[in-house]
Amino acid sequence: MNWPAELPASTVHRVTDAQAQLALERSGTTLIAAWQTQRVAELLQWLLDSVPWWRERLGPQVNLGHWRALPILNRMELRKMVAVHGAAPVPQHHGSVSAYHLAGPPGGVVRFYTSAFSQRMVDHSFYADHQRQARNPYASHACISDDIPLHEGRHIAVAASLENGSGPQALRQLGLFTRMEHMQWLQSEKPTYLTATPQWLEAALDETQRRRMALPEIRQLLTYGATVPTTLRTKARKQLGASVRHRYTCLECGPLAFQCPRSDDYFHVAVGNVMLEVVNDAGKPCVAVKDGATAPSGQVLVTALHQYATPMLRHDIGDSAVLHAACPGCGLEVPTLSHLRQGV
Amino acid sequence: MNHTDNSLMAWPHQVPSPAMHTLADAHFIRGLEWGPPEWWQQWQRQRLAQMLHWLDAMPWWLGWVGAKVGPDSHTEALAGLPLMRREDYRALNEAHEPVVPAEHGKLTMESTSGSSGVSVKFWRSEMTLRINANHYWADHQRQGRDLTQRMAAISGYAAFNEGPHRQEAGEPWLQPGMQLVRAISQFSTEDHALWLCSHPFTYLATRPDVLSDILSTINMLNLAAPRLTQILTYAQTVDAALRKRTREAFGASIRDRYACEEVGPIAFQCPESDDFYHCAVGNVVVEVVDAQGLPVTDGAQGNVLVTGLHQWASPAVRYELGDLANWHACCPACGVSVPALSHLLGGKRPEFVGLQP
Repeated sequence: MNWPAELPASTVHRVTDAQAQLALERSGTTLIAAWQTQRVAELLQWLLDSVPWWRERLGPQVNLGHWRALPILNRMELRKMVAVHGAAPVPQHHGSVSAYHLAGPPGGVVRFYTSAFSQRMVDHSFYADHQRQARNPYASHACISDDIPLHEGRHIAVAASLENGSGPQALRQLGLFTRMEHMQWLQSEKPTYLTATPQWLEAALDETQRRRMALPEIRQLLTYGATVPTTLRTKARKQLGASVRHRYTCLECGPLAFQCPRSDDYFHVAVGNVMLEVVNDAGKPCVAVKDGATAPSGQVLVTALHQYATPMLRHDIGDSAVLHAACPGCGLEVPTLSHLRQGV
Repeated sequence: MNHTDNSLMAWPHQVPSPAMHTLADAHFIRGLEWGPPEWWQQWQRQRLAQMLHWLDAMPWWLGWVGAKVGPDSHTEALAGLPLMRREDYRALNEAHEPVVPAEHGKLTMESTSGSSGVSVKFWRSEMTLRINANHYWADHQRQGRDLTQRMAAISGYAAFNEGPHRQEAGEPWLQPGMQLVRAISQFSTEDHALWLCSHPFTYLATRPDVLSDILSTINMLNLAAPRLTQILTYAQTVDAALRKRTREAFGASIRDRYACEEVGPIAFQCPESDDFYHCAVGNVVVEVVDAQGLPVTDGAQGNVLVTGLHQWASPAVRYELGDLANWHACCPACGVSVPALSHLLGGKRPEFVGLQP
């Protein structure tokens, strides 16, 4: 509350990171490529200098011009690397490193490490999406997820925060209540925004429809996890008056792409967080056969630009998509995905 | 998009200091406006108490208010302080040397022209200028502007330039889009109209009277009016007829800003309405009072008084602008919980002369 005499560091980081992510997204493909190349070069240099198992994998030096010659890292290789070596050393400015154990598809527990700095980048990338999607960050927000810790009572209440730029949040553990209990709770809470997975939402909307149950008006549904079917978008609009704004994410490095604010079909790559490639079965980039035609769908490879504790270079996360040089939905010159299929 | 300034390349390792301040200030400005009302109310109490406590040590100030207000003063205590008219403000500023805390930075002297009112000289600190400027930047976010797009400014404040305009290259952090600026008085209205019609812009910033003249000229000369998205106005009353003509000619909406030079921005048009203005609670305390100096009831008209919370060098406390407005405890259009104004009418201020209905 001491603004303008004092500017808390956490607020400054939040707003500058969010603005940088949005400015980068709007800066055009040349600047995006230049910025990403610089971050990749820094990451590679660190891995060669400081992480023996990555030096062994990459060789004594890497020519960025031959980026596509670098081996693709599949899910099993990554898990093995984490199991054998644990966390990679991180630069000092990354701060402390934490371990995460999450239930992740396909099957089994995923273990990975992340630094305070990487986590900051992930959090602020999600925060920037509020601005991208013209959300009021101070409005009420409900979240129903299996990532929420078990809790007493109806939900975990998080107070609004001026420093964090957030409104009141109500977090509810998915497994603690039945679908109908969750929907009744939503009716009493009347949040402006709701975060949940597409599968759960669609099943819940179907059930409330069958039971002719009244639902509140919700402005936007924020989804994550699996692909959003068109049927969910139709039901959300009809039953809640809400649009669905999907975030394409990966457990180990956060946001990969955010739905274009003007289209249901396209996803702007989170260029401030990751570099994405789409390749065919032979590991070659999927390119359009003719000028002006859409490239074929292929496997998504992720290079996480700030993830130093569990480095991921050309990581095949098991999803498929079509990559566009610019967004066909809004015209923005930013790498964009469509025909996204998660967990292929 | 090519920028000579490529400071975005250094993120996340470095962020330019001006961008950092603007973004952080805009964050708090928006938070005070869009968050729960306790936030701005508590924040204003603290800022007002700090400023009045500082002023308690100034003999010239004590001479004006009569007695110390004390460190526990808050917004309610304002009602006990005298109304400051323009003549009073001028006399007070002439009678004392400005002193501000070191963190407010250097001072610069400014003056209002006062062609038909009372001219006033006053001082502003670097902090005041920063907060004022960043309120205007926060308004870009409030109004959902895309700052990668080009903006034209036909301004009463711009210096004369060589050629048809001064080109301000964009910078990647805050305003990537190019701005073309020209002074109102350097060109004829016909020149302005032809210039506007021959350059692609998304936004235009200018005074309502200039906008009205340009619209008339475009109509008279049968020019093809460009498509614009928003027109940012300042300094004068905007009436419904001008909004309608602007919409018809340019396809654009007007987004007005209510300000005065002495304290900076006072209120910004609600992004969801032509009729209501959100008080700039991060910059000023706004009161609307009746002829007896008492607060008007919700929805009623009265005289606008402003108290600049960052203007410590030449304090404007319960400063009577000579403008009339209707007072609303919160915005009737969008429901945001800051005080709002409607039916703004300029009274004695020189900028408003000739525009009273």
